[in-house]
Amino acid sequence: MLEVQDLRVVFPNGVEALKSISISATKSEVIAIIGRSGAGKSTLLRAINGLQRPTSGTIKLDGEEITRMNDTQLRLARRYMGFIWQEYNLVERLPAITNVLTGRLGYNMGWQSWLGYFDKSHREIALQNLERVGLLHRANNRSDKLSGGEKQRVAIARAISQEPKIILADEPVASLDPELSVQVMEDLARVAREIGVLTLINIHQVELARRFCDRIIGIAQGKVEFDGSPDEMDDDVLDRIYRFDQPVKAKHEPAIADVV
Amino acid sequence: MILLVLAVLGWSLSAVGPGPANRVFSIFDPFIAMGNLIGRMLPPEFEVDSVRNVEITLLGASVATFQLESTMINFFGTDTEIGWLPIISATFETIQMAIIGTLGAVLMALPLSLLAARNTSPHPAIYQSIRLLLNLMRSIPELVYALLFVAAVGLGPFTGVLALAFGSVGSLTRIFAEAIEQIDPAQVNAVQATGATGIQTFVYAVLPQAVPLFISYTIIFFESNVRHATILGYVGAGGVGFLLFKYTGTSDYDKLMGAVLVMVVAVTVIDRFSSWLRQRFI
Repeated sequence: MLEVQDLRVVFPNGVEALKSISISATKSEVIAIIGRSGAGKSTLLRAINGLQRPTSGTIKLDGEEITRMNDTQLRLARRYMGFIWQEYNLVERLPAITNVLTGRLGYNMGWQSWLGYFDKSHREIALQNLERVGLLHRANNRSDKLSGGEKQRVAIARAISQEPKIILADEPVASLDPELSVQVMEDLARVAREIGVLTLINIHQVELARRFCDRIIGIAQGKVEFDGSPDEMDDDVLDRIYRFDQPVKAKHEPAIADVV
Repeated sequence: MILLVLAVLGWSLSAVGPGPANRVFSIFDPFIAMGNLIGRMLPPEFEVDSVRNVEITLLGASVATFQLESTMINFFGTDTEIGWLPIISATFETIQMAIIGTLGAVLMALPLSLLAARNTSPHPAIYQSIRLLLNLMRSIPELVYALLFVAAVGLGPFTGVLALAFGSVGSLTRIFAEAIEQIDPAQVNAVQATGATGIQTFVYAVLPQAVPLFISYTIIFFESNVRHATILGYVGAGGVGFLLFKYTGTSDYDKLMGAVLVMVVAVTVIDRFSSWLRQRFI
């Protein structure tokens, strides 16, 4: 499904965000991407979505090479890529249901969509997905009246309304309190498994990644440092991901897994 | 520094100070002259049409016609003529001109503001040239537009509508464009990331954020256009301006005062109404 090869991203200011990333995902699984701030996790997701053009390397989704697309092709490809943002990024003045319906815009390209018209099939998909995240009763509430957890659930409903081949979630719970973080992560993983879609989640909370994801990819210094199941990830791996620039610690010091 | 300020003041006064035609001999004379004029304006008087044909039309078809005749009534010992006041018809015409003129300006400003906002303009060259065009349009006052349109399309309220529309489109586009520039780009990105087209992104991410501001600014411009429309009648472009022109021309200063009172009431009512309306949209 997703095939990332030797991806390298250098920003215009000379910072090398990604040195060489190769990831391959062949089935619908929930993958956590962990790494320190600035490790390039967000850049990786933005490159897959086409928001960030890579310097070299290729990204293929279902055999289509995203890195070679022109703007129009990219726009059409984005229909199949749900993006979930840290700050939710709902259109605040629109009701929840309309925000979910924006996920259908790629399939409703006619002039009717300019007037805010979606036919029954689109509305049914949107309502069904709002129900999936348990917010059907909030459908007509304005988005700025929703709580943080509710907003992120609406954003999840928007993403799955795109009927995506892949969901990219960039720090989906970083703006939420610990309790809500667990609930929203649970919802995201559950919904992704229900509809069977490959999901990439950037996340800082290693514990949540262990609990809800099938596979964990650790990125450090622009390279893949770890790629395996949650069981295979031990303190030694976490040291390599989070403390690569520090001298080897004495054994009695707490490992980062105990801290987070 | 103080010398420089004094020099600038002296320089300005030498050009615009009172001349022989002003009959000003002391510092009090201008105030005395104004006092005299206000004395001639009091008590205010209202011009009354002795006979007026009233026709109510709905969608172009005449619904009812009747004649309104003035009558004399005894009001606390003084005979007073009661009837239709032409100033009221003129005030309604002024408000109608302001409504349609503002609407015309909004219709022109909506597409223009998209080109004039930095974040939605398709190309910096288009942005710069639209801004230049707007500055050009804004530097011409409504009254000059009215004079030009009187020459081009003739007399009447429609001329005033054109003058108001073109007179406010420059400023309106500018503040619409600034409203578009203030929106949250993250919400726009999120809609774009769903694969929406440019027009869809505009409808679902830009407009919802900008429309409340658009409405608020439009109401403010409607208010100011009511006041601007007042003066357009002076050059024959409809509204109460013509009556004001007539009264000053015939030195009927008491009738002028009556007209001004009616306008004060109208402007106050519109002001209250529009702030009530604005609060509902923010």
